[in-house]
Amino acid sequence: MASLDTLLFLGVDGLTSGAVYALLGLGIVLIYLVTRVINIAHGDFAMLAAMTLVSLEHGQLPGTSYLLAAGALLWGALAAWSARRHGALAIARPCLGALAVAALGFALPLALAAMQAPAVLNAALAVLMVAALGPMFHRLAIEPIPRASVLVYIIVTLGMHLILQGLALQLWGPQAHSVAPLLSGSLAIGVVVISHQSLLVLGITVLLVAALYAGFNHTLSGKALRACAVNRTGADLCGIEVASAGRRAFGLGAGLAAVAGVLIAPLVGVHYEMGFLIGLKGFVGATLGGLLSYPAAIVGGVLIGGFESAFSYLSSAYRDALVFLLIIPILLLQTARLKRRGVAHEH
Amino acid sequence: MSIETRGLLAVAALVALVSLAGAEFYASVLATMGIYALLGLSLVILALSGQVSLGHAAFMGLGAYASALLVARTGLPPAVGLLAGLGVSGAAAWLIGSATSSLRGHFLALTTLAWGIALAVCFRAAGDWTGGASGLAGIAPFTLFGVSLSAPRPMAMLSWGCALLVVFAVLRVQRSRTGRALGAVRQQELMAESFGISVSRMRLWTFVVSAMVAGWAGGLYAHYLGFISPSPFDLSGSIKGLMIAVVGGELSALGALAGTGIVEGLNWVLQAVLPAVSSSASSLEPLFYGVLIITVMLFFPEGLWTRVDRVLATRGARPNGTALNSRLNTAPAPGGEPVLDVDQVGVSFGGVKALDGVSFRLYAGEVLGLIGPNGAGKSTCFDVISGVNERHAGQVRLHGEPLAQARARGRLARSFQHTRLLEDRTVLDNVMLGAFRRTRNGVLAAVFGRDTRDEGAIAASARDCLARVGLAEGAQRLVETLSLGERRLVEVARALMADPEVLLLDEPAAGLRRADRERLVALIRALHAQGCTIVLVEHDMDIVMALATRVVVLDRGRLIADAAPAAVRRDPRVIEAYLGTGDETC
Repeated sequence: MASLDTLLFLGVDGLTSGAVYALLGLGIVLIYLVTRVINIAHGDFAMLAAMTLVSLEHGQLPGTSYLLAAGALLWGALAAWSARRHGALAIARPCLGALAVAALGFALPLALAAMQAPAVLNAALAVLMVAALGPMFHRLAIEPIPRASVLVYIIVTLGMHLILQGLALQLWGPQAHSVAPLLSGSLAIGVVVISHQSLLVLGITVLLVAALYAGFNHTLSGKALRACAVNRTGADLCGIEVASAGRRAFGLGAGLAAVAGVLIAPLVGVHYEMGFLIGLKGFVGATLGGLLSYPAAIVGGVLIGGFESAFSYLSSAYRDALVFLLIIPILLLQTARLKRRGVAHEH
Repeated sequence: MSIETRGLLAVAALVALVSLAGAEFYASVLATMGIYALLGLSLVILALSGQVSLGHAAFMGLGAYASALLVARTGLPPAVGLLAGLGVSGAAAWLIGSATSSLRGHFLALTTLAWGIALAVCFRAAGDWTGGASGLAGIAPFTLFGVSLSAPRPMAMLSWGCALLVVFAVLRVQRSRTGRALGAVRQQELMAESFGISVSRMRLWTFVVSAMVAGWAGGLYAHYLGFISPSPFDLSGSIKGLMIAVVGGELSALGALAGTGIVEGLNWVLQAVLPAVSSSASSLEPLFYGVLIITVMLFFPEGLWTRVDRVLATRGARPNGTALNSRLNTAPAPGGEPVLDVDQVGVSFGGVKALDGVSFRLYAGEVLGLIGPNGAGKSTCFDVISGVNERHAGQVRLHGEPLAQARARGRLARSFQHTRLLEDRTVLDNVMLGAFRRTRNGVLAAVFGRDTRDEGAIAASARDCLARVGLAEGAQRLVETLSLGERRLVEVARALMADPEVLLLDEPAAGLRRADRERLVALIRALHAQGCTIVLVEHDMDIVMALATRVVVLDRGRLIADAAPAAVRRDPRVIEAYLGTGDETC
């Protein structure tokens, strides 16, 4: 039987990774509600943020700069093409905008490297750069097929996952990297040592959840996102542009994932394959609410973290298998609940 | 010989030529291609029932490991191991499928992702059995009369032989009774159920068969290479299979062959070209796969082969024979005994009583009009009679037998107001679907061609029914090219194919142009004259009054009139329900 110390250790461990899964789950739910896209590549945003942090910490230009530049230029080219009949100014504007974004993507990391910026600034820039990738993802992979089925979107994001992970492998190599924690040091409770970074993960997660709650309830833009989630046609008729809402949802979701990636980077090794698995765990947590509820995504994420840490104590080799198989009972519970309420479960 | 068969023979000849006369390297490329063609085909089979799997390589892995372990531990011949592997993957699929059968659409797809990864983790973790990440070596090759078949040349022919066999079987099944039912399960669940097709059973068995084909690919893979490790059976393998299916068009067996050619061909080109460009060549592969998936999904969302398949569907010879028996013209004279007995039926949604103690009877040879103002409960009543709504108070009996029994339900057939037809199939196929309950041929009968007589009879009946509704000319047209009026007529023809005692028509005239409406009225009148018993739910009062021999009027869930059309027209309660009275207080 596990001793009290072991339980405490496992609990803190589970809570820390649970917070990360909750952040990912929130982004997945947000994106699903607003755009009907189940983003398989969501964890890759976290991976890219962690990788960006690695580069920034070493004073190098992160590969994310190239991704941003490529995305911005493609977007600019598409916008210029669709504005081709509206005169030179209409064509020039998106081109200049794209060039500006691309230039910023190179200038900011170089500036931070030149001034040997503190870790917090590096982390903030990593989050910002990855958050900017979110709308590009939406513009380039989702918007061209606006009325596709949920399954088609799943296949598309699966393709995007392959692309992002493949690019990360090219840009940062196959080896694992390590990152210094934002907060060093630790706290000892009895024999159990809790790193300050773990506490930081929990603290920031709570803050972000509170900020999101306030944002959705008290800002116009947040309310517009909620309107799109409830009824896209209705939102469209009220003058909310659905495409731009989708971009904002992707930006916000990618930003949340990036925060998760930056926070967890010092605790686990940074590796180009890390994103997929943590994203999927966030997803399994989010299914607790049928991908429709933010609170359920948070609870689900924390539960997944707890189960994972318990499973790794019981059998580390089968840990991931057990965690992923949790999705089956979770979804069956969902279906049973929907049936009891007499709601037709069809999409 | 059909055009598809000729195509298959051509592919077979090409494979034989390359594997016998070509360089051994080409034969080895072909051998792997054949195995992945099987994996792609397993996903096509799954897609036929409207399901997608993102974890199918795990079944391939189950087949591979089960076969390899059985052969290594017991010394049985690899062919037996292969069959056992099929059994293991099928059994696993049955377990998983039964557990997740209540899930639909994308949630089902996501569970496949989850258990696909979980199984891959297990292959790695169960090191005592599977050798863990370092793999399992020294797997015995297939033998034929003592000669090993592990060389690329015989293996290319073996794996392609298997793949072409599956393609042949899929093509036969697609145009059989089972194939029509699969189309209905994929596109129109409610309609499928109303013609006697069990959607969940169909889905489960397709899933099992598909997993067995994937396991087949796994067995071939293990005994061909002589070595297996977990990596080809994890997500990347599943994605490769999915890509093969999606590139060609996920509903097309021939498309899967084309997809195999494209994906494996690209893979081969990459392996040949990339090392010259960069040393980390193999790491670029997934990247290219990603680009390929996105390109296909954005620009050819239906796959590259689907168009060809549609054209093929409208061509080709159709079976023919003696038509099945039909009740029409042989039915008893009108004015006969009661057929349908609706007794004290009530339905409530939450606190709202949609139907409350409604009772009426239907007599043989009648055209019964069911009318009422909006919200009166017409549709709910129709759902109860047609068996869609089973949660109701009271009873509906057909010749004294409760309607809930499947045997009784087969004697009713309905049309749908919002037409529920299979868009990518011909009119004739759609009408033939109506006879699902009347023959029994399964998958095996279709594969071995034992269903030609029944199919011929069904096709002949379907042409009769089409002629009855006046669409004899359009039998080979695709449904997606029809007008609304024609679609409603196809719905009627399909219902007639079930040879029902009672024909239920759900607002058949809604939204029709005048000419189409007149055509429909003439048709219903003709059917009535031929002895058909009809229940007609309709908004268009002129049509009801012209056609119905008796009219039942509902208002706010209650029956307010049950009389001849002329009497109903004068009934003050009916007039009040439709127009209201001057001193209305509610």
